[in-house]
Amino acid sequence: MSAETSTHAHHVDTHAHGHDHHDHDHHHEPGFIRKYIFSEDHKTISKQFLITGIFWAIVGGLLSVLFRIQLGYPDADLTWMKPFLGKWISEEGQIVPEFYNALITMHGTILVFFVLTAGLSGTFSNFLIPLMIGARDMASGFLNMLSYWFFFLAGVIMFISFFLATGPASGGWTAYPPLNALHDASQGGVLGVDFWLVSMAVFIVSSLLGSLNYITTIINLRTKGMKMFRMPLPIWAFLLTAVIGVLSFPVLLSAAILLLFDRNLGTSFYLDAINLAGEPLANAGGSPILYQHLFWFLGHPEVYIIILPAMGMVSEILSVHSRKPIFGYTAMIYSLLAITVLSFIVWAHHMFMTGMNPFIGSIFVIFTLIIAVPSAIKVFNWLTTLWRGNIRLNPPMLFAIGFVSLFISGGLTGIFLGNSSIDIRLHDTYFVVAHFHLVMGVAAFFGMFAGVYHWFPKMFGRYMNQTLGYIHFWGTIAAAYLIFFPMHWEIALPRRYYTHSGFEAFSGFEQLNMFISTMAIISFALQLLFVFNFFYSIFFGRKVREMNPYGATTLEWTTPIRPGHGNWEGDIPEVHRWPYDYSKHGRDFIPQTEPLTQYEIEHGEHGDEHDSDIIKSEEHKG
Amino acid sequence: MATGWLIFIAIVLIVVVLFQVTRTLDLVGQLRGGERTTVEMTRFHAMLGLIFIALGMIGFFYSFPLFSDRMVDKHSSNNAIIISKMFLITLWVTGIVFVITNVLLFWFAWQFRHRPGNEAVHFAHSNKLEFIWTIVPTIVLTGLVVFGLQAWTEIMGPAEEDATVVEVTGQQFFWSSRYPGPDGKLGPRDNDLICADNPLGIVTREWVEHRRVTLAGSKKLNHVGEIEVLQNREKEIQELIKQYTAIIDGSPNKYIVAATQDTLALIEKELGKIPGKITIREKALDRINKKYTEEYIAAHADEFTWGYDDPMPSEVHVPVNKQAYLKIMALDVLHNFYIPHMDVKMDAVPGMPTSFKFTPLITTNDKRQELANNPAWSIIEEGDDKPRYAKFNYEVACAELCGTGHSAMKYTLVVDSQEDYDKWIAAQASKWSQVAGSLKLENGFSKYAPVPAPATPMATTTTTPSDTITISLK
Repeated sequence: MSAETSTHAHHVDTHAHGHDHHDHDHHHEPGFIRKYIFSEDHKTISKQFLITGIFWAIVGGLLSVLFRIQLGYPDADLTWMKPFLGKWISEEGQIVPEFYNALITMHGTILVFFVLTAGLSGTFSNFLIPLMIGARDMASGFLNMLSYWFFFLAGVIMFISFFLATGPASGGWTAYPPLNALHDASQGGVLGVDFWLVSMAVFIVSSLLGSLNYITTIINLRTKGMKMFRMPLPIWAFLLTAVIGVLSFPVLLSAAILLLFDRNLGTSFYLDAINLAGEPLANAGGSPILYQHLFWFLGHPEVYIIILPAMGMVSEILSVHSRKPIFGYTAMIYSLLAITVLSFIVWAHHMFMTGMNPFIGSIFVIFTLIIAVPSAIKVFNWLTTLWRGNIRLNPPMLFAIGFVSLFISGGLTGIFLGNSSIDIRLHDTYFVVAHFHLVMGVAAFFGMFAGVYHWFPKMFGRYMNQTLGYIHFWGTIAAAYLIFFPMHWEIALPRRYYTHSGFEAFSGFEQLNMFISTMAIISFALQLLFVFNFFYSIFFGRKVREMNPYGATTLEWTTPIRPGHGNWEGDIPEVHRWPYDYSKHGRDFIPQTEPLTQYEIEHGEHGDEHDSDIIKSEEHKG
Repeated sequence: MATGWLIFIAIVLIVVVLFQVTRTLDLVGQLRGGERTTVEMTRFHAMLGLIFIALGMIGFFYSFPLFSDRMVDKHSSNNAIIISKMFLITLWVTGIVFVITNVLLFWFAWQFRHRPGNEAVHFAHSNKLEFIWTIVPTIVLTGLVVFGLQAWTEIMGPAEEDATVVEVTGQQFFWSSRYPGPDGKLGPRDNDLICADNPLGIVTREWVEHRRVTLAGSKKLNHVGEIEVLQNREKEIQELIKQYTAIIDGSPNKYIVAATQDTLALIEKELGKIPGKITIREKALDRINKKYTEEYIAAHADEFTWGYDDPMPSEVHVPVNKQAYLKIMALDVLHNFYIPHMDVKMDAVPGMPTSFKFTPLITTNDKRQELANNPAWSIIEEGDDKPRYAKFNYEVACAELCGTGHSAMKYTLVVDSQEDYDKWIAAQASKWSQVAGSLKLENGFSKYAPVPAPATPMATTTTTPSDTITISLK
């Protein structure tokens, strides 16, 4: 009860900006359960999201190691895995085809939704929004807590499906019907898909609770002076990510519910004219394409849900460690907005080869390639941010630079895929796999790593081991490129193939596949280094001794080294300027809390490239 | 096993040592003062960045000659030529951007690294620069869109009147094909008519009658229909359940009890599915009876004769240099008819016929001759009498996840000279002629049906230049 009241009190404070009652709350130290498990503190919830995300990343990564063994070392004897995997390993010691399909399906689902949506957005939106905009907590701490526990429940349901006799869903992470609508078309379809759908439905509830909270908090709880155009770029990115989530996830929910109906209630939303192995089905009048439209109406915005937070954090980190303002703050915001809007009108570029009317395809080609423009603006602005900076290459900065590199390399192949004529050749091949892993898989991971290394001191009051961070970075970027760059050459190889050995047309890639698989295993091992560093440093890392170790301008560095519930001990600081005043007027940095001087014109609002000169001359006169 | 443990312990030890080293490095760095360490570390990693990007770029250029020959076919069909051109244009545009931006990124990290005397410049934005890098990508992308859509329209536009029509159908986990036959028309299809003798559900008077009989049975022909078979099975199972239950209750032998319980579970599961199967068949029969009335059949008399002459060969043949028009269907789940060499790729969707067209430019035989010059194709593999190129065939694969056998949906495309094609298609017996003798018909053949000649041996599908076996998991 006290927690709710206190949260309420904070809100009043924030707005009235008068006397702060926060000190009174310290009398009630919450018990262990309220503090660490059913906590309503955004910082704790963010750590819960992060640690759960790490758990799922390990699971998802392990699945990819298994199917990469099948692809790279198809003759390897895996009999020793039989005690763990049972009938999924054949008598000859090989992964059976059905299990292979389950592996790729669960790998995709877990990484896309549990790790790169919940683990990334859940962690950093929760952690940074209140700290960076100057709020005591989220608008609703209770809903925020629910958001995490719904995510947890979704994970439990998905995890249980691994232990079903007929296995988890195996029809691809996109769960296209009819394959995923029929109980007898695949083993995973017997029961696994039901678990998958229910888990997704619960996950969507979690995502919506989180997103609505982020939006409300950003709009209502900014501290005095924190105008929208004074917000750090991560906050803009989290805001727009949440908006995308709120508008698109409900569509996936309806798609999933209708699929559940088709599976279990005999409806025919997605089914028509089916004869399965000589057995005619009663379903008539539905359309499998309808599901694809609904799915990709979320599915495409989903990739921006994944990449926008990473973009935002990378912008911040590049600026802080270059000791330079982010180049083109306003352009960065407008390009985020443009990406947000465009993300809703490009979904059918996943469907050029579904028999959709080619004319409709043309429209989607145009919108899809337009998205490259705001993306290009962002890349050039990041590059210019580095130009003539004073760059400190610590692990977060390296990961931010790595993000930009991966985003470029993976993004450019999107220009091939978005052009429908070239997509005829590339659709459902390893070229696609290479593309999206670079641009939204590994790149988003790099954004996440950059964020973790950068804000770890704020999260836990300790530093991570720097040298391990360096090894982690170079190992991962090398492995990522060595996995996914050569994969572009497998341009004709269809994806989701248990083996390509039946085809002469797909031969000659055995060695390359072996190389890629080896790199994938090495890359996975390197991530364990990070996991170790992360947990070790929480307890034994070097302690943070200064409030603002990076010399950053933003509000999170004005809180105590280990901020308690409520974040600031006294009043919430007031904001007077944009967050990117680095190397200005001969000063290394000027915190957001410092008032503008008499002659100073604020950047980001009346941006004028010459105003520092003007100020200098004014000061000179003065 | 012992070596396994030794390796494991060795790895653990190495990791522990490495970790201690990294800890020491961190501590030493702190003792020497943060600033100096930052400068040195920054220099070291900026240098690594330069090495990384240099090696990366060498690898990028080196991999082109390494792989380009086994990438894709660039000239075996008109689609391949059009798409290869688009691909190359895009590769140049993106390739230049890729090299420049990535090199700049790591170059800047080196050039503007933190070191004594280096100062950052407060350079927050420039309308001019931002205008340039908004407008230039816009122009370039507009160009790509225009060229791309031209190519798209060319490939996806309507087919020519005289294109070779082939209907292909995907199901778990094989492809089948059908040609219009001498009359040039594909007979209509109806899923309700699908049965062993009519796997695609082609509509003719006889196949309608046959399906009626196989569903409902016929006293006249002394044939038990599927519905009755299922009903009988239902009764049989109910009887068996009684017997098994008696065994379970009465037998002292626990092994017999356990085995009986297993069998019981199986047949109970089967029993559970029977009512649904019966309902589906009753409904299908109902639809057939309602739809194919005498009036309806009379009204479509002409249409219902088109299917008699449709052959269903075991592979797809098309003549060279002539447009081929594929009508693509699926019976159960999504499939995708994918011919890598021809740049043909289109989903097969149950309930929604799709299509795709292409013009093959090189016959299978000519392609073999072309490959004969390639050393990788001239080798004779172990256990073979012919070199690899002599066995070459254009392959068809499935490019949409369709279940366990997805990677085994192999089919063959043969591109013939016009002459060879004419000979081949003339030799194809129609599906009708192969099964007509065994159809269950109460009233015999209609006057429209080509009377089957029972004595003729079945004309097997001759596979002119091909000798591949179509794989099917079933």
